[in-house]
Amino acid sequence: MPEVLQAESPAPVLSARRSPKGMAFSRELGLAALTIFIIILFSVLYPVTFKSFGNFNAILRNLAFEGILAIGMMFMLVGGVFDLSVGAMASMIGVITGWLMKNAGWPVPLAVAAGLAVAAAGGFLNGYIVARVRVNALITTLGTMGVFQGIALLIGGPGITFLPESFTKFGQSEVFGVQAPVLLMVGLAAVAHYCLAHTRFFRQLYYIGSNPKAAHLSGINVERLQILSFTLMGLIAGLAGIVYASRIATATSTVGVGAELQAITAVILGGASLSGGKGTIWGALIGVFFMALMKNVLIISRVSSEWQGIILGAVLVLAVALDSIMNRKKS
Amino acid sequence: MHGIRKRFGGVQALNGVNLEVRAGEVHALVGENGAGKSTLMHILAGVHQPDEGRIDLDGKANVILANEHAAQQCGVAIVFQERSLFSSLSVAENIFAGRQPVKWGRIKRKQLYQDTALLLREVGLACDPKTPLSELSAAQQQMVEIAKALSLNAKLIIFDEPTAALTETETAALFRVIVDLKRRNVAVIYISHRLEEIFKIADRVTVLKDGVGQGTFEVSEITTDRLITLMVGRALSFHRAETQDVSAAPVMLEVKGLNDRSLETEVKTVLRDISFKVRQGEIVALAGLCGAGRTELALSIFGARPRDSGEIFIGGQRVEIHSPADAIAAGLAYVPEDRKEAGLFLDMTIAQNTAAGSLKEFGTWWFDDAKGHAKAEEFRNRLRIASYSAKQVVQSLSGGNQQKVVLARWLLIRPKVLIVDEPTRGIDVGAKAEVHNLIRDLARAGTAIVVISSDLPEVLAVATRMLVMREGRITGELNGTDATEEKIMRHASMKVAA
Amino acid sequence: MNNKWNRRRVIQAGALSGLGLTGALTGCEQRPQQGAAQSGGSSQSYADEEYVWLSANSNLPLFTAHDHPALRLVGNELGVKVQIAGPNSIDIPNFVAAIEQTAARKPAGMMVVGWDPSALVLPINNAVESGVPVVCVDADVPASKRLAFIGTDWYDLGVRQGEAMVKALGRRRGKVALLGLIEQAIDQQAFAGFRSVTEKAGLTAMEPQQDKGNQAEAARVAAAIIQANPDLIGMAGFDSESGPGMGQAIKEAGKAGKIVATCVDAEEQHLRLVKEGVLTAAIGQKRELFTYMGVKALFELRHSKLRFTSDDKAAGVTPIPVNYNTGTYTVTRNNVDLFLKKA
Repeated sequence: MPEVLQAESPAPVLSARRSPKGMAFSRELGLAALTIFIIILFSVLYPVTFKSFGNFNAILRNLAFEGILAIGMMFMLVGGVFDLSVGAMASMIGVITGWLMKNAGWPVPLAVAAGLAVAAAGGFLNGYIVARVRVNALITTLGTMGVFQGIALLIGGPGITFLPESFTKFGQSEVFGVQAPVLLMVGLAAVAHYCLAHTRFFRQLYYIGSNPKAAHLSGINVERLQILSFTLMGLIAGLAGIVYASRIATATSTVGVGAELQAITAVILGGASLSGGKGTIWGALIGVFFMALMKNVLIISRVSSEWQGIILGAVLVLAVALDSIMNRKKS
Repeated sequence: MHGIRKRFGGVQALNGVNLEVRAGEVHALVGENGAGKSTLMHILAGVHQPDEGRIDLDGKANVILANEHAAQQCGVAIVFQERSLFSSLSVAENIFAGRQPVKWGRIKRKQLYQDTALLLREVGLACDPKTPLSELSAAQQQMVEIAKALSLNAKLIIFDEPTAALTETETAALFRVIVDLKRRNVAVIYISHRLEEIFKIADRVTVLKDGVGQGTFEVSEITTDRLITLMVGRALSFHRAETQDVSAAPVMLEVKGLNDRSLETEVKTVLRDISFKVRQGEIVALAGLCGAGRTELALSIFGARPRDSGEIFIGGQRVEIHSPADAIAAGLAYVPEDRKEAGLFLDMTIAQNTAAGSLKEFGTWWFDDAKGHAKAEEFRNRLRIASYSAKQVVQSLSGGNQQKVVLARWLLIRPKVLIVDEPTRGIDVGAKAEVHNLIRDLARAGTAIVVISSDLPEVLAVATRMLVMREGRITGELNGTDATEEKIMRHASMKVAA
Repeated sequence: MNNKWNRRRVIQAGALSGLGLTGALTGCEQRPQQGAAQSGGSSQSYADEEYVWLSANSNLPLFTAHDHPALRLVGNELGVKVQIAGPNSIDIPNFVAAIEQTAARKPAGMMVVGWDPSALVLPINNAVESGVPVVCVDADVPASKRLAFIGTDWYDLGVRQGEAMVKALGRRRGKVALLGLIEQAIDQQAFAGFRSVTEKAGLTAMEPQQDKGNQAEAARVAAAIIQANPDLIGMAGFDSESGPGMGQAIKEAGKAGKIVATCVDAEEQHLRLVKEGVLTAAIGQKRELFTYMGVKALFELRHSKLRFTSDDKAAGVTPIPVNYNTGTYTVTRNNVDLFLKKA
């Protein structure tokens, strides 16, 4: 056995590899750069149709729903889990709130509060089953997705229309020409960003996503945080559903179908990792915006409907692959 | 095997080892962890290639065993410690994996099951060939492995720690099978830490130490003590640091009557009646072999594992610990055994890793990143973590520096009791010494320290007192000054009275 | 065996099976409906006859609002049993399984909504050959041996939308956008009908855009089309979700009244938009007739006293029409209140 030696001076440094904030930052920067590039390109190609306030407004209006969902989904993915029930939850809460307002005659603020309460309860249910009973998150939320969707159809039927004006006033009002739901999304993102990036409480999510075992051994209450983050996600999904119902003045029972996958895609594009521990809120928004931009650009440039799907899919793969290649080059 | 040499990276695993095994004999191979037994057997089984040396097998000189398949062809079969079976497939499919009887590419099921039934009868395993492997007990699965070896017409079967997960009766059944193998003139190499088994089943025994053979002996002509001396005896090349006299210091950690009968562990470790004390400034080593239950004990004390009974006192006060958070609040810290799996957040920075155990220090609401960074820098310098800044991602650090990062995390909270599990595993020599010095400094400053280690020289160098564990019990307590590796080894490997 | 039969594991198993059961239940549904035998009316009791309506997406609000109530109505009227079957999502394999399982029970007749004109051919044929009469409703599977089709003539529907569009545009000429589930045969028929009118009138019908049968998607696509074509004068939607989505986009772009919009189906959402003037015309389907006439057709098949030959069965002659064109109605601002009162 070799002798005990005195330690020598520290060995030379290895190549730089920045923090998860740093690394996703590069992914976000890359995506943001790509987004700006596309905007410039198409502004040049289609100066009248693309480069107009009306067009950008249209893009923003139609991404608010998924944007709000993506904000919640980013919390989920940072903590290392998926929630597939968000779309169904949004529909269900929109329908419940609408029913309370229209059929049960509740005053609007009370109905909205009740809807959000149900949303939080649904999220809590998800969290409890995943964190306490330890059922896999994918399977759990797949199951609850079915339940929520069923409830939405049961209560909502063909849709609850003619929602009270005091309710729809919010969803349809505009501030400086931008629709309120969009501003809500941005506001929510700002708060969420602050919480996720700067508060001690939410910082724990990164640890849990990165290595749940080490987090547990470091004294982090993994279970409690997971339940909380699912509850938060439920609440945000409910909010998205309510805001959407406010915008179109109808509570539709199928508004969220497929929305969860869109949200997950956007969030991963924007820098989240499937295994957890990475991602920022701004990344989520950039991801959502990028996807909406791509879809818009395809229609502006008159690409036929069949090709749109193919191109969109290819761009997504390219964007993620590019990021992977860039990272490998760095390390 | 003649003059086998093998090097892995910077470590010379085997340094000119000779081994001679006769047909129809049970030849035991002993040595402490890291002596080279597994490496030697892996070479024989074709998993690794020797750097130098010659293998004569079955009358053929200088056989090249290029891979496992070649070794199999030459009649060598190895029954691994971690079984290499397919748990979701049937017994028959496992035995004849890749060699099922086929006709026109289609598997002939009937014949497959018939052949399997024959083999199972030979090893005395009474079960349906169609049974899925997962439904069998550990012992039965081992029998399937043996049956598989027999089906390969093995002339040499290697058993690597076969009884680690077996009960008394199952072990007896295994021995019957081995005796039967002897009768068929199959050569058996038997690796085990359980010296009493060697005396029961083996004809001859070869001792390895630090990659060098220490001699081959007839089992009837050697004693346990001599074996142990051969296994671990070495000139003490460490100078043991003078340890302060702590007999008067207050007891910082006391564990009383800790029991854990959960069978959820892979090895059927059951913690039984663990009681011990650690004083302020003491460094108590928990020595023993892998699977003795030391990590489980640490996790239990730290609240990461449930326990059936037991009380824990910190600084004389009884504490209720049900989670790591409780433990940390009580002043305990635990550095895990596998830092990559349970200790580090690999894609996070040094600063973020350091802060992980004491997030509350950095703000009640708003997380003070600047403070976190400053603290990390402080420890980076103090522990001499080779890196360019606290913003570096820990994945790119060397093993030793990674370990220091984990240590830094716990030093931050200034614990009353620090439990370190295998502090220098996978670390180079220089860093090892640094870590040892760190531990000593901590003890001098008043922390009570428990070091879990399988590295006997390390244990001797660092500890003021040693507790030896085997199979979930504390089997011996030794004072730092008059402990020797032999004494520790004896406590660690002799059978415990039930 | 553990002495503590892990409570957690039990809860886990319970939760898993609960979730699984819910998932399974939401997957496939069989809701039997009892039709009470008519008191006074027919002298014979047909209470043991069962007529089954099968569709994918079987709990779609459109169905539950129109097709199903009419089904129950005709069941009561004739004194027969009716049943609703099929998966809750657009799950064609499960739909095929439902058809096969239903046919195995040998009901008095089956009505199948033709979601997939090729995949459903085989199960329908098998049912017919085994002696169970099958008719298609709502959407057809013409390649199969179904005995009749009861539904909207989608080409005609497209024509009506085209006519409404041309009338509302007056003398304006320019581009008109089309939205729908572009891969569906019925949409394509409607596109063709629509184009036949608009071409004659000198309007330019653009290439149809996919809206995935989803309102939010329709809104997004319509908004983008409006931006991409500032000279757009008209928009036509061809699945039930297109209308509300288009209406939303037109409103938000401030183009209500400037772009003439027509759509298919006249549910509350569509009617509201018509009333607001955002949609010019909504072409409604008489969905109730699908199930009403469907059951009646099957009933006739069984009980008709008409004879065409000495052996109709051998000759392959049925006592019912092959095509029932259930017709459409056009809702405009003028008559929208009539429809709204019902809702």
